[in-house]
Amino acid sequence: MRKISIPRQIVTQLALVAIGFFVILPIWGMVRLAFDGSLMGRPTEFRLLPKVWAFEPFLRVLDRPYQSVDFLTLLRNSLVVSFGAGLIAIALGFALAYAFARFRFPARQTGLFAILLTAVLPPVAFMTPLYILFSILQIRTSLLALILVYAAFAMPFCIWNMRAAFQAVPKELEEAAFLDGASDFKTFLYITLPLALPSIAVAGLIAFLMAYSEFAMGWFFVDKADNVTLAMSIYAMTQSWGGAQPWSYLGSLAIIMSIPVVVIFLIFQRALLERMMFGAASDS
Amino acid sequence: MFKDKDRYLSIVLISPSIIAVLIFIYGFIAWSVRVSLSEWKGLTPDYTFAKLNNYINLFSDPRFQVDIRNTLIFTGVFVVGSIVLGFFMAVMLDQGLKGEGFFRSLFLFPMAISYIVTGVVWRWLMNPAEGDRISGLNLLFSNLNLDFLINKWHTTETWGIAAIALAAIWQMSGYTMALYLAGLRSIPIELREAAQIDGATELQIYRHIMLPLLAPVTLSALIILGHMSLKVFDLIVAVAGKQLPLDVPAIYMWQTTFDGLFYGRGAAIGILLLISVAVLIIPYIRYTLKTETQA
Repeated sequence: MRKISIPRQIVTQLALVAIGFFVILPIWGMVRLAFDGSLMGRPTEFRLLPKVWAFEPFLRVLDRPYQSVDFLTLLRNSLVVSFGAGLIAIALGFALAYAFARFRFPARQTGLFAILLTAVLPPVAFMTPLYILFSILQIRTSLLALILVYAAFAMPFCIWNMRAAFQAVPKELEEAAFLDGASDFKTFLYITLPLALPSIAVAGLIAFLMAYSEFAMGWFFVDKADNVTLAMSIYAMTQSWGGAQPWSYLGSLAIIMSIPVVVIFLIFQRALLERMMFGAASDS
Repeated sequence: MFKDKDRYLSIVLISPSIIAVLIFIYGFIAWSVRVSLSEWKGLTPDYTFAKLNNYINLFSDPRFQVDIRNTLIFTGVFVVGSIVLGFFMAVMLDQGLKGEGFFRSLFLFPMAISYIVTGVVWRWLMNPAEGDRISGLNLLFSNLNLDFLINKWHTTETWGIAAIALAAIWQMSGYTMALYLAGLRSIPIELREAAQIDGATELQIYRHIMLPLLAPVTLSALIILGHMSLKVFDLIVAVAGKQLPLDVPAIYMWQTTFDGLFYGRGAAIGILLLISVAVLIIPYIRYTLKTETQA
């Protein structure tokens, strides 16, 4: 461990604390808004603590968050859409990821390139065709449309990460199982899959988080209040906010919505981060 | 190692999904290109060939010129801000101080927050109201007697979009920090020690040894953040709604297609956006794939 002088240590600590404030202030501001029962419309004072601590905003948004839709419907929509999108992205991407990791076939490199490219292209560029297609299929404003859209955008990312997971499984292990008489399928099922499973789960988790947090593309398609997700409902609230209603409602709904995401992030921080760096900072 | 029969079987099993993915996505791109070359507006499809008219009209369209300007400002402020802040966070955390783990988690925390929640928070913090209705950060500045800091945030003329970039920096500088931190950790400690023995100051070590060695990380960060800012529109609408002064191509596309039913023009914007992202990212992906296969 390197030794550093006391003054420099103090200066660095102070700088870290200062940046820490920049990071924490907005989050704290949200908490303060959400718990302030005294707010009528927008906050008119800048305070670190709520004037009147209250759970009332939480109860209120749990009772009636968005138009006539109740909270459980919104939550259910969010979960259905995010789980659906995550599962589809994993299920459809799975075979492709394994193929790209293990098989040699013509145009393999080109195919990989083509798939990776789709992970970074701007989603809005695909909105028009999707909109038309979904309209023709008459599913445009359904939850299914949201599931398909989010799955499509998460899938290239999942393929990329699952491929890395399969590649990380030592080939020697597979060969050993093969020599012991296991079939390809058995080798895959008992050797490769269990070893790659944690990374696959993380890829699925990221797809889940992407779908759970998305709100803007959702509003391209869905115009039925019953099929709105939590994230979408918060956006709708910000758009129709005339200052007539207390901002504490907005704050408390935003906090409720963030709970699952934050919990997942805190638990899986290291693994999620590693996957999201696209190998940009690997130790190679 | 796999028997040939199994191998062919696998390929047969897998190729349908490869083809489906490729056709779906690249088929859509092709279709978008076709629509962007048509006169289609309104609900009924109209594939009348319009040459490059949609594109030509866009570039003389004042709104699209604002979009390009806003995208450039946003990209510049966001990318430079995140990289500078992220780099300093990483360097400070790399000193081996107490509480390093705590600060690392804290700095990463905004990444866990959804754009829509970030939007709500910053919408309040950057409230541009004046006088009696003053709110958010302006109110804080006013209470602290720092009146010169009070500003109109995203309602500032021309540069308003930079205020949104501030919220984006808040969200993504932790990610940039993580990139740099991983980079710093992979630099052998001997290099640093050798420089110290040669009498280099800490500043010189960072300036002349670490920074050049971190060049690949900086390039990755530039490209990842750069392509994010070309695509950004959700954060903008979450903070400020759809306002013309804060317009970007994606919002223009959204409104012209779904509110105005100008499918041809909307598709043209989509394709232009696609090209700009592709130009930035294709060389990077090629490079990534190449180094990976060599490894």
